[in-house]
Amino acid sequence: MKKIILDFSKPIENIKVTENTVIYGLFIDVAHLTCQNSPCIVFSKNNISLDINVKAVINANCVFDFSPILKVSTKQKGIVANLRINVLNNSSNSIIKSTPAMEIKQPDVSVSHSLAISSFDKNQLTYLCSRCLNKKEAEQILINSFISDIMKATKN
Amino acid sequence: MDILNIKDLDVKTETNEMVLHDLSLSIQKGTIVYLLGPNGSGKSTLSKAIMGFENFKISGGSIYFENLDISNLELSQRARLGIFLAFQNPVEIPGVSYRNFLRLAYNNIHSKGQQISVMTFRKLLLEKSKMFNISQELLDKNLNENLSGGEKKKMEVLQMAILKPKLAILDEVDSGLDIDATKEVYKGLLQYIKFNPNTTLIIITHSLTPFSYLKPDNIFIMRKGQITRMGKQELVEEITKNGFNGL
Amino acid sequence: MSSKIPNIKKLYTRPSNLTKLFRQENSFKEKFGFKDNIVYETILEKGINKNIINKISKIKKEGKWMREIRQNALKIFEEKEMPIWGPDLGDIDFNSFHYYVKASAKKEKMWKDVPQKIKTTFIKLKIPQTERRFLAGVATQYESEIVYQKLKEKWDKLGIVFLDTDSASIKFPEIFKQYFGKIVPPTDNKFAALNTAVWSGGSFIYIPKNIKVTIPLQTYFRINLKNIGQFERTLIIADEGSEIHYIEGCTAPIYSSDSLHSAVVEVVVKKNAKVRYTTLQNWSTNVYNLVTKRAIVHENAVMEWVDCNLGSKVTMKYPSIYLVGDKAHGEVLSLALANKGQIIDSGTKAIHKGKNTTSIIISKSICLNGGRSSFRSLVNHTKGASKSRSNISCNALILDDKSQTDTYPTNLVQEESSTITHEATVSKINTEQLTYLASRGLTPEQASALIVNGFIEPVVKELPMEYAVELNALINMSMEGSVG
Repeated sequence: MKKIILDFSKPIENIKVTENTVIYGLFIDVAHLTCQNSPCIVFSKNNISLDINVKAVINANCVFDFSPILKVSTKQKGIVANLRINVLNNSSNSIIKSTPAMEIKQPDVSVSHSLAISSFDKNQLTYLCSRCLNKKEAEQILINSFISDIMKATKN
Repeated sequence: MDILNIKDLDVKTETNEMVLHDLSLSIQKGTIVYLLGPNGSGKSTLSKAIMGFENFKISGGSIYFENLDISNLELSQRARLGIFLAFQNPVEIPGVSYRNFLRLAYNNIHSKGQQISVMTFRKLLLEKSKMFNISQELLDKNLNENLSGGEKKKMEVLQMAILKPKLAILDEVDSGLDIDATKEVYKGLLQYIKFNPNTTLIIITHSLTPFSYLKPDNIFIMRKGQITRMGKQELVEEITKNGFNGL
Repeated sequence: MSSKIPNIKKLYTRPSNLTKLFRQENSFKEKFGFKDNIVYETILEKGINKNIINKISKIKKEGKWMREIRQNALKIFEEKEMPIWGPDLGDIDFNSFHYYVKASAKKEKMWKDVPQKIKTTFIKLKIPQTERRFLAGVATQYESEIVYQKLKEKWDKLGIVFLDTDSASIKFPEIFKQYFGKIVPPTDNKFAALNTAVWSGGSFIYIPKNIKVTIPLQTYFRINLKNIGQFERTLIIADEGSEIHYIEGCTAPIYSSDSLHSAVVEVVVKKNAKVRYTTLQNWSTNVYNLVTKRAIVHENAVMEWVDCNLGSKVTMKYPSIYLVGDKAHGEVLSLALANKGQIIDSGTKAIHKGKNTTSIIISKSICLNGGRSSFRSLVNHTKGASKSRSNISCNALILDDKSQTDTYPTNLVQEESSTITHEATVSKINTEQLTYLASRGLTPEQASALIVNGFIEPVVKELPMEYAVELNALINMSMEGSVG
């Protein structure tokens, strides 16, 4: 199983998947950053599985655009791909965009993606605050929880 | 008459692994036969090979159904000849209503040109569902969508009752059911057999419950893709005492 | 679907069967003084320019204001570029069309000239004989007129205004000036500009305040020659608190010799009002179907687009919802079936401006035999659309390796407290499901058709019963011969 860790500090290049692969990406923004990426993801063999897990925490005044396009041509059979993009929006002045696109020409395929862009869960915030944490502390805990799976997987 | 005659059957998976080897058995029409064995012994595999699942290939030997060699027939063709399999894991098909699906299947097998009317079929469904204590709400649902494991199993035997096959293979139709539901299934089956005595049943089970409702005419024990023992009721007592390993 | 329109959802009946209507022939003849066989020709020469526009406007006896709108739109059309994304529209030669043909001049087509494929579909969908002639465009104007008048009685009783757009623009210029071209401006895209310049026919509907129309209004029976056109313009205004369900088209294939259909639909849903617009499109496979549809949704109002695309050579259509008022809600249910030689490029735009606005988008698409279905969406939570929520769900089935399925879902958030969730899947028909159904004696075609019908069920269940049945039959037909 190949592991790729995306580096958002540089433009993300197109990805050619040659074996079962897991891709992680974590973007934690600092103010005024612009991060725009539309990598093209293709496959070079049959029967490959691909799992992409990207998370972003948007803090202030940034432009974040992660729009990968996944392509499966007629020749590649047995591709199983899953893409997850999760953005925690902690900013009132940012622009967050994502177009997770797909172009599929082969039926013997199982491709799915999911995307979520939202701010902190009110219930979770309330719960933490009811345990005497202030808003900032509660938010920090939630941010840590949000990114924990990627941190673990990338041992960063 | 033998309804099923399997001779020296070798079955391989798609990756060329031999899963059934040199298997022979014959089953008489109208009998109740049990297929027992530890997990992984090949019971489900045998039932799928009889049914004609595509991922199992016959590499040797043959299967005769009512003296017809069905080894090369497609799944749906075998179903229309009168072979039924109650799936161990019934498949969910979202958005497809149970009633429509069953009527379509019924027409395929029984209609002989004249399709059954919606009303007549509704009555038939009602009658059969009572046999297994299946509520009307369950019938209004989509094919196995959002049903509990036990409900799915009950619907499998209902399908059998509607389609009236000549040979019905019940693959662990009681697994995942509570005590009451298990009783309902076997009571219903007993009643069904009373009205359809020519039906041949192959029961795959890990439970002792069915034996008190449906007396075995024959029992086959499987192990590692082969039939290792044959017998009758006395085998049940032996297994109960010593387990499969003790045989 | 939203539980906000319980009344409208339950009241699905097709208007009176045509056969019944024709039994009253004689009384209609007398009542409306119908004269047989008046056919006069007005066909303008091919091509589009200032002169043609002036002639069109003159023939329609329009006011100066409408002529100016057309001329202005023509300028925009000439300057605007073709869209740089989407299917190839290179085959469209704008100079090869007649941009105005008066309805009665359309030669009466004969049933024998209708392509066999269309006739076969009518039989398989069990369309009644009388309706087949309508759908094939070979009904006489007389027949069309009967149907229209009978239905008009119903609408008049409800106190609503429902007439063809041409008549409405002359009868209600004040309303027109207020809304026409304001929801879809001619600058929006090249085809909106074209339509604004040469539009003819279409429906104009005004529902007064608090009137809830319980019977769906359907264009199906308004396929009188006046109204089926290449460049229909529809304007629907639902005043405060009103409710309306409008159905356009039908599942049966409609044969059109015109190869460019470029319609514009503008909908205004005022405060607390509810509009559902259902489209069943099954144009013959020579048609370019390029449509701009948009609804402006005000405070606490609801707009629902149910958009089924089954036919045409190329369809580009993105019914949109602009949620401008607080608590406005929009839903788009989209179905695309792209068969051999077809490209269906469809989707939606949901622009959230008001606070607490919500949108739900569900798309089901199927491509087979070399067809291509593309789903394109834009969900935009603009700054100020606080606490807005959107959920988008796209599922695509691709049945063979000659076909192609694309998804281009854009999600844009500029407001901290808003939420967008989106999911998409692409797969072929599940082998396990096929095996299960085969084990119950279904042939591969029957099994595939059943599974595909189950796949589109969330959309189909929102259609009136008759259309749902026809749609299922159409799927069964499409699966025949396409299963390996």
